[in-house]
Amino acid sequence: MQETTKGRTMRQRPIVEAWALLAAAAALLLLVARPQAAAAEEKAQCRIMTIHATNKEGKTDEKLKGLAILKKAPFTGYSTFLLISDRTHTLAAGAAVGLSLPAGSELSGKLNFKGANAALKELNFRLTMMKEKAKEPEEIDFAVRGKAPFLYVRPFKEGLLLLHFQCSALSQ
Amino acid sequence: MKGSDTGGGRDALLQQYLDGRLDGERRAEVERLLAADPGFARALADYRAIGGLLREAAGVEEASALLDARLGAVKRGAAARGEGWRGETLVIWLAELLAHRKRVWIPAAAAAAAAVAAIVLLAVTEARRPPGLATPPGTTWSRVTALSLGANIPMVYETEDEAGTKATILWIMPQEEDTNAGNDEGKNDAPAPDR
Repeated sequence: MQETTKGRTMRQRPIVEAWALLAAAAALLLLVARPQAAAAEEKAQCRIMTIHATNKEGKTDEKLKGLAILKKAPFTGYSTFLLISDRTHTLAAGAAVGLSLPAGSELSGKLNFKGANAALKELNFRLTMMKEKAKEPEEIDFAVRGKAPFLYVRPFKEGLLLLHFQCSALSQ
Repeated sequence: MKGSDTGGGRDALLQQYLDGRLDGERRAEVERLLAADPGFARALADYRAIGGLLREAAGVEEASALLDARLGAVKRGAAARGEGWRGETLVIWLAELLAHRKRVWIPAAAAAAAAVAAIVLLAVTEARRPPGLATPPGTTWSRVTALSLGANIPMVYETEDEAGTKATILWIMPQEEDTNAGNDEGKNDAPAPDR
């Protein structure tokens, strides 16, 4: 650093200015980052479990033993719950994800995240299920507030096919 | 003391007076001269001012030496750490860059203004941010909002856990012609809700 007759001012002022510049840059970065954080609420994170409920001999998957909803009606008539698929997806508004369905179900399906309703604090989804020989798909619109699960159930192989959706806003 | 108008003697006397090296008698004499001779008093004032400047200069030199030592230590530390730590190195680099500018208050003022503007904008955007989707416990649910199932028959169950979370179960009962998949799909054996 250069020696000057104004020693103190010329030596110490640049340090202060440098810190001020860094502080300003950090504040601007924060400013840029905030809208991105707000936009994160337009994303949903969904855990989708595909389950086969049956009365055949078998062992309920460990991951499913903690699901209290399977221990109550209308599932009390089934003794074994087999986890076919367990996947977590992050969905932006308008995006869809295909569902993992068991072979032999003759079904295909997708989950579409329609967006968030901030006023109602809800996330809106459309579940589309298509049977191979069906003329039209099933379309189910559902809304989720918080992390409440939504279940889709239909008969399948001497038991039930369950799709367990647990979705929440990504920022929560 | 012969008089206050002999420049060399007066200066030496004033120096001794300022340094506190005069005995009581000579000190009293100087104070009498200061009261009687405005020129003597001005000379004393000048010496005091010069002394202050000298002390300040000494302080600046000391501060400069300390600053140099500090910057040197930081530079050595940054060099020892290699590429992994750049925060203070960046500050030094910026400081050295700014040290070569005469009108240093311009970037400082600009930086301060930018920081204030950023803080104000942050406060405004925070105030305008829409309410989040976080919900308090006991107020969470899922619900069906629309259905298009063709001829299939839906049954909707609602369950509630101990935490007050309400889950919806949509049970599809396919029509007879939609019974090919699985061994006994289509029995429509959905149990009655047990609520």
